[in-house]
Amino acid sequence: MEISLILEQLRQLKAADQNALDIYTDLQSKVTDPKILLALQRLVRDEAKHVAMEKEILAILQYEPQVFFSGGEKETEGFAELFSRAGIHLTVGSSGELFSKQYNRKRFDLVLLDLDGEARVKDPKGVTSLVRKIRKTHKKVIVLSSRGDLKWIRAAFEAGSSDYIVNPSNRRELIARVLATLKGRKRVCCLGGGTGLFTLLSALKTLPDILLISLVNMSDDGGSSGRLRASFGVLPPGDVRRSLVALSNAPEVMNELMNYRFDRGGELRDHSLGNLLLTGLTGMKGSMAEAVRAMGDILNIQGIVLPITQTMTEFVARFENGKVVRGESRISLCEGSDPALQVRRVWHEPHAVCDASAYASILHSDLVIIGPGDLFTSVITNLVIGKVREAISLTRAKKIYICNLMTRPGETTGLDAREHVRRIVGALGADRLDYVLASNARFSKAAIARYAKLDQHPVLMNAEDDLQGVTKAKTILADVADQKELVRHDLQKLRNQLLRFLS
Amino acid sequence: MKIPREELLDSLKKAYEMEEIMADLLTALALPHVLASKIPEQGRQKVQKMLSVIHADTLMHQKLVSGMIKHLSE
Repeated sequence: MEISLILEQLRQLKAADQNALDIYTDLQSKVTDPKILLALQRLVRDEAKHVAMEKEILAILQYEPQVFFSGGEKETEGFAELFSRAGIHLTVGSSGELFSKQYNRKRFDLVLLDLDGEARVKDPKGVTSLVRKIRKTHKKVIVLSSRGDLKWIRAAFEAGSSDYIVNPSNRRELIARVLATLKGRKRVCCLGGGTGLFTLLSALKTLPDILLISLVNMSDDGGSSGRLRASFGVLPPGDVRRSLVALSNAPEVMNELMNYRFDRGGELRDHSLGNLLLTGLTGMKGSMAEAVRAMGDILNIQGIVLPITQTMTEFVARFENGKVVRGESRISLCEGSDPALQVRRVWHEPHAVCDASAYASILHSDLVIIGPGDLFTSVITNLVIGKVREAISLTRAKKIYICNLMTRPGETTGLDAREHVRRIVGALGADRLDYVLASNARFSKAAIARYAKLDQHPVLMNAEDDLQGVTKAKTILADVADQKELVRHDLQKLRNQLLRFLS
Repeated sequence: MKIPREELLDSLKKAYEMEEIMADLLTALALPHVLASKIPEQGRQKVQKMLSVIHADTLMHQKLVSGMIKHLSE
């Protein structure tokens, strides 16, 4: 129901209550029957209370949150209108003005602290001190800065900031983060890649009151993504394209167009149109991160998609026989290795640098969801990035790992759920998990046989105490599978299980 | 009685109609999803609490007023 309709109904309710109150008050003075008089006295008392309550409800619903932006007039062209459209009252000034007599009795719901305009803030200590000073008077602070210094982000987080926006120029993302802060929406960070991340985002997209942030693996080097990476030197667009489509609010034909794959045309063959568009946008905007933001605007996505790193890296795995395989696609295909051999160690070459927005998002999140997805090439590839691990260790968010349903040859052959979790905990550097969600679905014989031909087998967990000694995390065993054609996580079942963390 | 019985009955019937309108509106407004994402969590909880109090009272008022109408009609 639209807010305008709710307000209209509340006004009707208040009018009806007032009418009833007038009638009962009038009758009270004209009735002598003690039984009726007693009832009327109660009705008058209740109706007067209702009218007062309805007035208060209308005030709550009509309240415009008060936001102070410290960026100065120059930075705010169009900001007032943008915020006004979102039902927010914006006051613009400098942080100095915020502490002046003019506002010394005012308590803003949110202060947007623009560090670019704070010449006196020169180091993380300066950030901490300013955020703490603002927090003493005002309810919440979001730090804005064009510099993505992770130490500054951490300082702001530890001083109590609600968010840190590294690129304040993207207005859709700015408003999404501001509204999440003002409305107390849960920030949910999903870490992964491939089909698993697409499924998870599709499951969560329809939930109200959350800000969904997809942190996408950027080490894919196979198929269309790999060819574009090699030809244009761009970060692989395939996984971010899937996330964008999962969160898209564009007409379905636009989503189909994004996923459309050319089946002929020489060089174009096997490329998806969405990958080509993202490559073009990277050329126009200067980086994949900005290309993703621009595509997010085009698709009017519900949430935020961020590449987890902006550095071009190669994912490398050492198998148990000592063989080193370079490149995510070759690891997935266990190229040059025995499919039964297990991965012993993985890393990035060169060292992958965590994207500043991704780091800030993890720190300020309420729930971090790891997986589902290919254990090493979609999930652990993100966790071995040092600053991702650091952010996960510092965040106050609950951390949940969603275990895969089927093994994958070369990556997880012979690994049960316990061994999956052991690898995740190992990649995190410590037992940071709060929950593990594993499937206890019984697969049909036909499904098991079909997958066995591909050397894939169910990831088994028999009892909730199977993870003892591996993690202190609480185990949730539930049927979250859909096995109609392919064995996949079922969107509705997955959503139902995750709802418990979002209430 | 300072008011004729028929006039009192008419007034109570009008009041009962108001209570009916209120009950219908409250039934729609009190649904948990109606206010979802419209206002911050804290405010929403407060609003829902107040709506449920008004709703419960209104249902009781309907019974009370219909009881009075019945009593006066006998």
